[in-house]
Amino acid sequence: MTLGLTLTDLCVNGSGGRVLVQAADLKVPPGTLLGITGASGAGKTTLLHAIAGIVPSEGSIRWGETNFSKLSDHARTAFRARNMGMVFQDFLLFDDLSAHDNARLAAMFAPRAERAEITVRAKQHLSELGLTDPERHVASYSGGERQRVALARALAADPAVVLADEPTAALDRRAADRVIHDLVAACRERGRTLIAISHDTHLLDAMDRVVHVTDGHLAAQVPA
Amino acid sequence: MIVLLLTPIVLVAVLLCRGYAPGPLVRALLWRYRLVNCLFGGLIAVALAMGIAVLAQERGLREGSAQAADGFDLVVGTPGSEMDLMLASVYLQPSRVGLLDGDRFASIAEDPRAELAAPLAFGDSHDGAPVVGTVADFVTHLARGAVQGRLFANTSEAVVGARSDLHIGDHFHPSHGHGHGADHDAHEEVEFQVVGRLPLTGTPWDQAVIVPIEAVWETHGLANGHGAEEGTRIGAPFDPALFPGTPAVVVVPRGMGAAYGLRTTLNQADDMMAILPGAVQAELYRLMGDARQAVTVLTSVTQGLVVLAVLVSLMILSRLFQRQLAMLRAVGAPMRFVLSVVWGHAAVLLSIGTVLGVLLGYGAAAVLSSVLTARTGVHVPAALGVTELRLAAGFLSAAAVAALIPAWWAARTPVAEALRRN
Ligand SMILES: Nc1ncnc2c1ncn2[C@@H]1O[C@H](COP(=O)(O)OP(=O)(O)OP(=O)(O)O)[C@@H](O)[C@H]1O
Ligand SMILES: [Mg+2]
Repeated sequence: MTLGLTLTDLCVNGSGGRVLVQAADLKVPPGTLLGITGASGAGKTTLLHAIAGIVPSEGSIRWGETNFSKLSDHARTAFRARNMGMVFQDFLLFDDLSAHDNARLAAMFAPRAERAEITVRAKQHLSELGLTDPERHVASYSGGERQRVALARALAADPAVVLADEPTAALDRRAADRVIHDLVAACRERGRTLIAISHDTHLLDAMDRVVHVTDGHLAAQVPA
Repeated sequence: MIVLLLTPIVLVAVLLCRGYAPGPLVRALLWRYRLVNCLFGGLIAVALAMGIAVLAQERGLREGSAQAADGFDLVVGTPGSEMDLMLASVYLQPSRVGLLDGDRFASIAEDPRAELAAPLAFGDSHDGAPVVGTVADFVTHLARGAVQGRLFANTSEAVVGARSDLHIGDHFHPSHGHGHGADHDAHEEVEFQVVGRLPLTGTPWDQAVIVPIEAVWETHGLANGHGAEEGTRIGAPFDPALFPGTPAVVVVPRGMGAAYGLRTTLNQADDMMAILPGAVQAELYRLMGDARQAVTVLTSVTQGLVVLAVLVSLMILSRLFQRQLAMLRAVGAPMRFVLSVVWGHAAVLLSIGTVLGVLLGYGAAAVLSSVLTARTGVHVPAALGVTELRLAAGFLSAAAVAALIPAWWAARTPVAEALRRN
């Protein structure tokens, strides 16, 4: 299954009536790799969080046939669990759990019937991503390895969409390139939609499209 | 009842965790903050242990002293302090009590409601243990007929309590007086041989050396209650004219009704006082009830404060992993799952603290009991009763339910805001 995104008149208001993000119209067809870039403080993270439904917003967010903005908080959470994989800049792993336990996190709260499948997929992704010792605690992993564990976690529930917020910012060039390669491959392979915030030109170059955020407003960039 | 008290925590656990597997994350939290967790567990354990030790100790003391007074249905002395008379007779504590003369003793002994009237004589000691003079029948009464060896048959024989250092066949000289002031040479010429040993009674009498009352009187240069024509006979009856006096008479009545009747009759005489040690102790506990209540309230307050401190600390601690919790919500974990993780962490801490607290409380009660038993000779049992377990179960449930508040507080923080934090 693949999912596309349609934003119409999206508006995120911050405290004090400040408009943080405004997007009149954005269409991301299923399977597109979309890069988001822009100056620091422009509103990229806020936009991504709005798209994921973790910041309240006005206007309409449609994921495929689902009118995401009309869902209850509970339903949005469930939708995220089922359809979205998240990758964060600083990985956000549990240091005291093994790579495998981190990667199969979604199994801990998924319906019983899906647990085994998630666990198997987590293991599979870890080995595909070249992590050969999945029972080791993540505390001893390098940055690049951690981000790949986080990627395995994002993919374990087989999501249609991957959302990433500066996934290579904490990595050196070599590790970043490897993560970019793995991220792009994982999305291309299964027709997943990817929305990735980045300043990293290597990552942006690998995207189908890049939008530039300036002061909360979106502007398309020349496709790479 | 205990199961009922544990229902809330089980209910919360089931409601929160049903369908989820938060175990690995709870373990991760426990391990991540292991030092703090140990500290909190220890605090909880100590707070609970105090309450449990107080309860267990108080009950043990009550049971122990009730048992100690068991063989002493009715004690008669001269008018004065009931407490002093009880301390002197049941607990063998040197006290200031007057003497009953031969006629008074005869009137008690001849009452048909008295099966046995045993005069006591104090004043000497051996190696720190009191030497008590009385009649052979009272030794049989105390021993419930189970004397090892035999009873004393003349004034140079003695029977010892179960915890005495003397053994059958040993010879010893009594010292005059008690404790540090005891004069070891005063009775150089008097020697006793141990011929019998009492079974354990759980009373201070277990440490005592019991000799014929005639021997105590003779040692102190008094008449021995018998005329010259009686030869070396010991025990009742005594000649009132030759009776040097006794500070306390232990009466074994023919039944409980006889005990109350005798007490009334004897108390009507203005030169005698009869007490029921069991009743005196019951009165004492009634008076001490308020103090116990105060101690109970104090320990409860302590427990409450410790739980409060731990829960507040957990709340502060939860800020350290708030980004992780926000991440859980961001990747689609339901609120209830996040709650189950945070609450599970608190509940495990509380459970471990409670189990440790019960063990620690029991240990403290056992140590206190053995100290008390060694000091007083009163056997103070230390056992975990239903009351203590009920306290522990109630404590655990209440604290676990209260732990929902910090858990909810931690899980409720807006996801996007928490994700931004560094
Ligand atoms: N709840 C809020 N209320 C008011 N202002 C907010 C709120 N959340 C974020 N902001 C502000 O909105 C702006 C955009 O923040 P955002 O994190 O989206 O920027 P960004 O483009 O991701 O920047 P960076 O590249 O540094 O991560 C910032 O100035 C931030 O301080
Ligand atoms: Mg950002």
